[in-house]
Formats: sequence, C-alpha cells, structure tokens
Amino acid sequence: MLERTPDEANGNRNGIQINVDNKSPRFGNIEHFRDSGAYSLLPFRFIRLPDVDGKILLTADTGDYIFVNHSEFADLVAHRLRANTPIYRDLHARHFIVGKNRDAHLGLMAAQIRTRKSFLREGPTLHIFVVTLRCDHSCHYCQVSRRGAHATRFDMSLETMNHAIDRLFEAPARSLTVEIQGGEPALTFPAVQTLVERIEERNIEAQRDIAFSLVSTLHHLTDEMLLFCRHHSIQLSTSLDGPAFIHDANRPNPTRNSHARTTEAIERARAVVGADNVSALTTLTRLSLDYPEAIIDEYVRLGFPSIFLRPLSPYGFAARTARRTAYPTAEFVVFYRRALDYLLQLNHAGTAIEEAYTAILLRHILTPFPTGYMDLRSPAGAGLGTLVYNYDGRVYASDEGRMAAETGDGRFAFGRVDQPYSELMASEAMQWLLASGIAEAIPGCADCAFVPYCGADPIYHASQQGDPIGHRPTSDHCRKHMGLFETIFGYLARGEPETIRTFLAWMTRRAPGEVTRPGYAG
Amino acid sequence: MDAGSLQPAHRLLVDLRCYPREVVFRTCYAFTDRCYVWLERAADEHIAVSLTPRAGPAADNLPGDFGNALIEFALRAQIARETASVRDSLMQAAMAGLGRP
Repeated sequence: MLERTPDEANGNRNGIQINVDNKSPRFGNIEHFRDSGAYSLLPFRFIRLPDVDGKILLTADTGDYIFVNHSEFADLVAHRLRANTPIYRDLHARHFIVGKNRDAHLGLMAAQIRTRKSFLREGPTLHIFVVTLRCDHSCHYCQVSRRGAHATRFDMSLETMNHAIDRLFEAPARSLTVEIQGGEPALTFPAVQTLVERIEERNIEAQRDIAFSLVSTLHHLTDEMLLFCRHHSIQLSTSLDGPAFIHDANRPNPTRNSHARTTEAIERARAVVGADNVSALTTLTRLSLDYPEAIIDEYVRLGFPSIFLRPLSPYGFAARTARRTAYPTAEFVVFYRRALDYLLQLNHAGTAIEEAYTAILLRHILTPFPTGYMDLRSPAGAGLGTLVYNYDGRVYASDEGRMAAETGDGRFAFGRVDQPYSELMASEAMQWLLASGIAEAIPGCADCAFVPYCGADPIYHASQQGDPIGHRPTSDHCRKHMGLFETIFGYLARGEPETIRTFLAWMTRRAPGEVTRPGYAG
Repeated sequence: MDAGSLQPAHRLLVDLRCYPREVVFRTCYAFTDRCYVWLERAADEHIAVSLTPRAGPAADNLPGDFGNALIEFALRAQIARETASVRDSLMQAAMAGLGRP
C-alpha cells in the first residue's frame, strides 16, 4: 500500500509516494475514512441503578460499560447521535456503536469476548481432594457434613487417592491447583503428605504448573507439618469469622477457645511458611451481620491484607441450622455496603486491606481477563473448571455438588475416581450442567446488564429451587449479585478518585500507593 | 381455571399491536418475584395481565411499574433485533478463535 521512493521532486513526502490521481490510489479517498455519523448499534444491555440518579448503565457484550443520561440514551437508540460529539466518540470507543468501518472494530470485540471466555480452553484447573470428613469443630454452618475426629472410616483410601491423581493428570490444563480439604485435613496429615509427594513425583514427567493449597483450622498443624507445607510451597487457608465473640459463637470447638487457638495458629504458621502464604476468610452468620466494622478491624489487627466477606451458603449443616444462622439476602447486601464503605475509609486513611470478592468483581468489570473464581462464570465453573474427588471415591462437579450429595442430593456426581476422565466429563450430570450453565441463555439473565460479569450457578438453583436453571426473579444468587454489582457500579458512577484508586489497587493486587492515577471515572 | 380464583389486585389490558407477545412474557417474568401473574386473551388483539401481589396489600405503583417495564423490555427487544446478526457473528468469531492455541 505504501511505496518508498527517493525522488523528492515527484512530491514525495517523507519518502512516501502518495498518488492522488484516483486512477491507481495507494490509499482510499480520505472521505472514505471520514465518519458520516450514520451508525449501527452493537449488542448491549441496560439497567437503571437505584443509587445513580439520572443515569442509565449500558453494558456491552465485551464487558465495556458506560453511563448515559436519558436524552443521550433516547438519541442513541433512535440513531440521532451526531458524529464527533463526545458521547458519540465514547460510545464508539466502548463498542456500543459502529460506523461504516466495521471489520477492525468487530475483530477487536471478538478478541475481547474470546479473552473473557478463554478459560474454556483449559478444562478443569481446580482439583479438590477431600481427604477426610473428620473434624473436631462443630461449626453451625458446616457445609461439609463433618464426622467425629476419630471416625477414620471417613478418610480417603490410598487406592482412591491414586485413582484421583490419575484423573488430575488426565485433565488437559497446564496450570493446576490442588486444594486439599476436609473436614480437617491435619487429622490425616500422613495422607496429605502422600498426596503431595505422589503428585510431585508424577509431575516430574508431566511438567505441569501445580499449586497446592490446604484448607484447615490450623489448630492441629505441628511445626513439622508446617515445615512440610513450606518445603512443598503449600498455601494455607483458614477460617476467621471475626473477633472472639463472633468466631467462637460460629465455630465452637471442644475447648471453647477456637478463636484463641486460631489466632495463635495463624502466627505460628506465618512464622514457618511466611505471612503471604497464610490467608483467611469469613463465613457470615446472622450474628456477623451486626458487626462489619468489628470483623474488619480483627483482620486489620492480625495484619491480613485481604478479607473475604463470604455469606452463608445453604448446604450441609447450614441448611439444618438455617433458622438460627441464616438471613435474607437483602440483609447481606446492607452488610456488604456498610463493610465496603468502612473498608474504603480505612484504605483512604492509609490502611491497605482489600475485600477479596469485590476485587474479583472489579476484575470482571474492568478487565476482559477471566479470574480463577469458579463460582461466577458463564459457562458455569462446576465441572468445566472444577473437579472434586471425595474421600469415598465419588467425583463431583464442585464443592457444592459434593455438599448437596452429603444431604441426599446426588444429581451432581459425575461418577467414580476409577473411571477415565473422558467418561466423567461426558456424564449425565455434566451434560445437565452444560445445558443450564450459560447465563447468557437463561431467562432473566439474558436481559440483565450484569451478565457479562456474572455467572450461572446451576447447582445452587437445582438445590434451592428444584431445577438447574432456576427462577431468577426469586433467586438469592441473583439478588446477591445484583446488590453487589449495583453497589460497585454506584461507586464507579460517582467516580471519586480515592475510591477508584483503591479499586484499581485491589483489582491489580498492588499497594494503593502504586496506583497514582484513578483513571477514567464514570 | 381463571384469574378470578386469584382475586387479582390489578388487571391490565396490553395491546399486542404495541408490544410483541415476547415482550409481554419477559415483563411478566420479571414481575414474578413480587406478584402472581395470570394471562388471558382479550378482545381486539389485547392480552389481559392480572397481577396479584405475593404478600401484603396491593402495591399502588404496580400498574405504573409494569407499564414502564413493558417499555424497557420492548426497547431491549428492539436492540436485540437490530444487533442479532452482529451478535451472532461476534460470538462465532470469538468462539472459533478459542480452538486455536
């Protein structure tokens, strides 16, 4: 298209010949590139947010978003926008409209959508090994349906473990996360050691990137066990529900000192494996909802850089104790808003602590890159992103599927660990999940402006509403996420620089001081 | 069975010449969290939408909210119609690319 010629006399400009005789153009006529203002709409959804007066949120299939006022919205859909106005340029840049030069625009959009769904290439990356159901705690909301601390018949056998390791390496993903759960895995730590060592031995040949994590109360981890965790780079994850009066009420243990033992164990674990390798998350009960600041303050006191404000889930023993521990979703959303406001105040005052779920949602909103969070994906992460190898040899689509099975609902069992990976992934349960796991095709979700950032949860809906598609208007999964997205987009609409800087720090896992500019606001 | 056994608080006649049936269904679906919905064919290309609040007394703003929601769902349907082919092309291009390394 461009030719270099050394002849200055022929009207060369910087050595590039431009022919304007229209007989043999190297470029198209400049008018071809001028935007006439006629535009086509690109696919988008919209919603009016309760806390954002006078503005309508538009979201594109790529995940781009923009706030417009009512007259701009009316002009947009009536094709009355004038070219080269700021709103026209913004809508064009964010993939809501396209002029006549569509191909490059659409190619870019396809690339963004492909990036959002790129997790589909990998298959299951999270492999959960439930090595035992034994536990010495009696948490009211236990999702695991734990057994007594000495009930060794609920430990995973060596044969089951070996089959599960075979399935792990049959999964095609290059990067794998092996999450070791219970019950309390420390009660069968020799099995944990065997599991880790056998996986590492197999990986000498398989050459995958494997990360290990251990979910534990930490109470029973001796120094020797901690050294093993350090040597094998095992991340430790524990539960900390807040200050002692909340934690001890939620998570009673035989000696009635769960909080004290947990905080002592956290310090001991940090001393051996390093503070970066010990994380904690909350489970919020009815008692918790009155004390967001106290819960956050406890995490700050203990030096955690992150807090995950996790609402109660309706599985396992939590379903049985719901009358005492559960609460309407609307109350959780109120709690969340109060907690987020407090967290932002702390960050603005110089205390760096993120809310982990908010950070995940911000990544979904502000980037096209998938997070590793399986529970909010479309297609759903159950099965496609996660496999759970239960102590008894059954394989499930997700932790929630396993929990449902423990209380009698076995619909989400793929099969057994001694079946090939291909059979497990072609199981009836997997087909069922695939048919109901695409949020963009579900009634209610298909029209929702938040669908680019959200996900289906077929196991939740089957468990709570009787079928995996569920009924969105009354879905607590839906209500919760609508509340969270409305809250976050409210902050984005207001665009206060300090808040946006904090959000960007959480999203990019940087210290707030490293985010020097808030970026685009609104 | 008819709507009479539900004792609806509101009965709205929706002109199907203004709102496609699909739009009426989507709007009704969105309201099933707060009321029971019953649909009946009415005269002159109308559909009768009976709304019975799920709990408590009838909400005063239900008909108004429903009417506004009809307009919004109609707009969504218009946008979806205008963008259907490009959405299909985008998804095909995006998903086809997933198969390549």
